[in-house]
Amino acid sequence: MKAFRFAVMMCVFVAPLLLSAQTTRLRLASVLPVNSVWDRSLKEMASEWQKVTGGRIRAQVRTASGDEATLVRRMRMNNPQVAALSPLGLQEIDESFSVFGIPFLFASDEEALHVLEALTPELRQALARRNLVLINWGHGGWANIFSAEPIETLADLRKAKLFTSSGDDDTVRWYKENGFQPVPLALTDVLMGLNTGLINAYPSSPYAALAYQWYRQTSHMLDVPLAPLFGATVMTERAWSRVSQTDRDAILKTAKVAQDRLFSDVPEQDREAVSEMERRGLTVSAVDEAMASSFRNQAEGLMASWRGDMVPIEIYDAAATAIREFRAQ
Amino acid sequence: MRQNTNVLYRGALSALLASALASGCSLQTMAVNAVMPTIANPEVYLSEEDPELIRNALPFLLKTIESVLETVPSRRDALLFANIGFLLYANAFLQNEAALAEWSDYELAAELNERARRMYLRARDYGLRLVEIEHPGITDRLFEDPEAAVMVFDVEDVETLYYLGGAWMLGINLSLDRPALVADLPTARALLDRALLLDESYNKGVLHTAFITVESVGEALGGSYQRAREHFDRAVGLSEGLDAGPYISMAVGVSIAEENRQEFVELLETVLAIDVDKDPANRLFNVLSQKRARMLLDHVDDLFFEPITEESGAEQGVS
Repeated sequence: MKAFRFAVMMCVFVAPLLLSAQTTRLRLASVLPVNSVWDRSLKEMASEWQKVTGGRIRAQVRTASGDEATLVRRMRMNNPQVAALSPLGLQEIDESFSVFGIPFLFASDEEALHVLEALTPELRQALARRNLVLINWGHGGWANIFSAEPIETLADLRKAKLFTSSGDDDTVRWYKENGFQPVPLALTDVLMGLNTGLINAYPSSPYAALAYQWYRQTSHMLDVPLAPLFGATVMTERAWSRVSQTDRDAILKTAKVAQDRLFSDVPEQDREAVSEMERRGLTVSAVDEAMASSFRNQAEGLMASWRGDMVPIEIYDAAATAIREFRAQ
Repeated sequence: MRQNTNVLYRGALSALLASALASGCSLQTMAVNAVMPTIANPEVYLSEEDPELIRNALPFLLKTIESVLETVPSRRDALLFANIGFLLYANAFLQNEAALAEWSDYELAAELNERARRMYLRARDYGLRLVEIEHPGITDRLFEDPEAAVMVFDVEDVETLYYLGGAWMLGINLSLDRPALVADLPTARALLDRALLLDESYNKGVLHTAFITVESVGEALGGSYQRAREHFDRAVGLSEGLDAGPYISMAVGVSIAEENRQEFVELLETVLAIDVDKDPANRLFNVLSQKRARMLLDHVDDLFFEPITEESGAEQGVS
């Protein structure tokens, strides 16, 4: 009888301890290069999750092979449960995210951030419709136009053989309809395209142009930011539902810290990349604010065609409203 | 008699000092000349069967070598050994331990990788000092136009190019968040390209092993898994299958990227089957590689995703 009571006591007192000590293992995948600023950010965040949840959440960061479309498909199987996605990956999930890819829509990092914050509730909903939870935003820098010949006007840009991502048929069609010469290629073929003259211009963040060595074939950069490269870390609803509210709060809090650090580190990394490329022969076509503004105004008419066609109307309009608010401040 | 001995001794010492002074050589330099060939012998380290012994011995030796270089800054064998030694310590111990730590402790892994990164760059700097002796101004030219600059090197320089290019490449690999170092990638690549061109069979194919990793960076960065496989075949052929390096590099660089779990396992099982005593000159790296192979096999489920099946995830709604 004593033994029985002892067993009951064990159940009463030990079982809750065992439950609270239960570990949720998560696989956090990305296609980002190991040892890059983004990979380090993910690992620091994973490490923090483990600390702030007392070891209840253990996330293993993994570099996934293949492209982000494959990574998104893998999430359907809840493996990985968490992924850090670039704009391309997010657009695979929902076309609302294309709003940040509209060329020359945003005038500055601050303006783009204001719009990102304003649209976050809608974008969170877009993810929720796909059973995904927004953990934090990521920053891949800003795309600029790099080219073999100087580009300072839209007319110059129209003459260029411009790299666009293969598979993004809508963007290719849009470029063609507006008098540009898009050349759809896989990312892996850009270097070959530049070496063979198939393309002579491409949009890229300064860091990517440096890391991929593309800038060695394109010695000009237009100093008018094309579009911000906002990414996101997302978790499957299935995994999220197994995390306690306390741990969810802790995860989101540390994820916000990681987000803030990225939003500071990545633009700085791009500035350093430009400086390094300039030391090695890159010419930055600096334009004054009047010319940049003129560039954006000319582009504005073209960009309106994205509304409803490539970006949902309500998202486009919400972004336009947020931009007007920001510029009125 | 004793007086005669003292006289003789003093005479000999005077002659030695006079000779040293005449040749611009200090006593410290003479001591260095006497001891360097004995202490700076990489083979003694690379043939060791007990990695811990080397891990504990290397720091003292490396500081001794740095002391030697304080005295004789342009001593070639000391510069080469410093290049090799710091590279060895960073690669075989610090980065290897970081890879093990990554499974449980990212903070520790980051600390170890940061130490490794700094040591790779220190190794690179000694390598650059070494090539500057024969080719003054080469460092600047390597930054300006690497492909043209490396043309001055010939077949006698292959060892130097291998260790200099290797340290630089590995240092960059751990510095991808630092644009100033990322920008040096063409230079490191040019050094290794030149070495491969001059003597592809150097040291039983170690250059081909390095190129498995170089080509595994992905096609966007100019790499090629197909070329990595060709280097693998050549490295295995030249080492007669006794070097674990190509198998590990192939498993980590190509099999994981191509999601080829079966090949990954087979390569690592081959590593474990290598008799480390058959090639004593490579014993240390083979022992370390076997340890790493066991770790990788233990984590094989973490390294590979299940094959995608549309049915199994359809209900999740992620599209």
